[in-house]
Amino acid sequence: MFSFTRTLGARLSGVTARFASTAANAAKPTYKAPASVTVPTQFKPNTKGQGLMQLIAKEEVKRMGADGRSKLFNKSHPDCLRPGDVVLVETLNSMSADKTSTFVGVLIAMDRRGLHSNFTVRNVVLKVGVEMKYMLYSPMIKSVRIMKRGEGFRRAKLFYLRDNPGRAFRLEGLVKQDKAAQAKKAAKSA
Amino acid sequence: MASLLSSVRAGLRTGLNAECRSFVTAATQPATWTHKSLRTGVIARKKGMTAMWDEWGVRIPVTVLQLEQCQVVQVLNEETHGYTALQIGSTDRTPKNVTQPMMGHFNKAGVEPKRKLFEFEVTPDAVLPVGTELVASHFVPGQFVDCSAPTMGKGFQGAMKRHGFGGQPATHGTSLTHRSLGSTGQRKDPGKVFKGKKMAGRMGGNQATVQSLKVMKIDNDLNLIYVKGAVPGVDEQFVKVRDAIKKRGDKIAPADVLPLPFPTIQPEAVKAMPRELVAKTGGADPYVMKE
Repeated sequence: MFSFTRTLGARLSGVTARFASTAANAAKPTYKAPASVTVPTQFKPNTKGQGLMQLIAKEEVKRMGADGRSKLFNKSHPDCLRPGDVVLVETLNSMSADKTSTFVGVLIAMDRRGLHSNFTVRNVVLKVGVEMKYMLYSPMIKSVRIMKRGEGFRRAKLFYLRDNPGRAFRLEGLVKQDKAAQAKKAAKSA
Repeated sequence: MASLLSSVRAGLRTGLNAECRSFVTAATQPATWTHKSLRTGVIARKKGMTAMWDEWGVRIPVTVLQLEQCQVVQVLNEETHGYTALQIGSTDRTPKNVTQPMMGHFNKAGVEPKRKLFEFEVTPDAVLPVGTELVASHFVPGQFVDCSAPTMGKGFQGAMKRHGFGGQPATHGTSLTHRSLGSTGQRKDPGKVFKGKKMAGRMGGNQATVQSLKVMKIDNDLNLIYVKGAVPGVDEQFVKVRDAIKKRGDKIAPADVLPLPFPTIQPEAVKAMPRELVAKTGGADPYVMKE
């Protein structure tokens, strides 16, 4: 539903913007980050009411989730993922190129662990069951799209689908439908 | 704008009256680094572990080390002590909990009483004046460090866990002796068990050094060093952090961050830096197949 642009380039913030060029600051040394050092998005630390590790975890989530992917794990958000949904995960093959890989499957597990939140997607590909585990805040994940909402799943973890899949992994029709819809959209916008 | 930011950072850094512990700068020009120079280390506290992603999208586990009021308490020199070293103290302590002899020691230095004192041997050109505060930017992102700390205590442990012994078979008639030592020596000659024979006993709680850990990130406001990998000991442990001994000279850090701040980072340079600096892993993209 939402696609996240790669924010790696956008995270490099200029250092000089922090210091207004006044006469007093002209004498002070300015810092220019060398090539082997990145300056990430800076936040103001506030340890009030929380410990150090909680603070830095929250800041890192804010930094890595700047494209809004936290809403996928936020139960009060309408776009939250639920176990049983059919999702399409698009991942970058590498950070150097823009090539992506796609994996479609049923979401069978979601683990809420703050920065280390992850989810597992399962599908049967060429008669072989395949499970892919994705770290939510990984920069390699380009987009996570819900193709179809799950219905009738009453568990948080759907590991029973490994033995009793039923019709859960009959997803070819859905993929075809989705491809057609995407092509139509692309044609419309073009 | 700049003064507001620096006052915010000063307030955050110590939590106490930052003005009374201003940086003590060396009276002379900062010394120049030579390949024989040895900088001081710092005392940090292990705060926990987390993870971060590098520029290639690889997930890297990191340990967070925090410098808490890390100051030079005493300078040991060749004439008086026979070697050159700096005694570094970490983490302030309320004076009412400090013994009178230790209070005298801290008063002589003019520093607040500290919880932990360690010595770091240095070369004479790396000596810092008493009272100098060591901050996280003493290390640069991308350099390698050694971390020493007492290991986690494991209590009384058997020889299999403690020394990696093989034990005896689980079946085939072995009776009640699956995890024992086995033989402890020979027969009439020598007719005794040698001293230092590896046996069951208390495990853990001794100092261990993990070498060549990469500094992935520096936080100037909270005085944090993020090192790649694990560090011995429990959370809140005092850890000695030094430049890696096995990566001397040009190998200690990427070429564009060398030379390392010598003898330590100047306070003006720290004020000019942004809050967080992250090291790049560098090299080739690991997810691209080599042709």
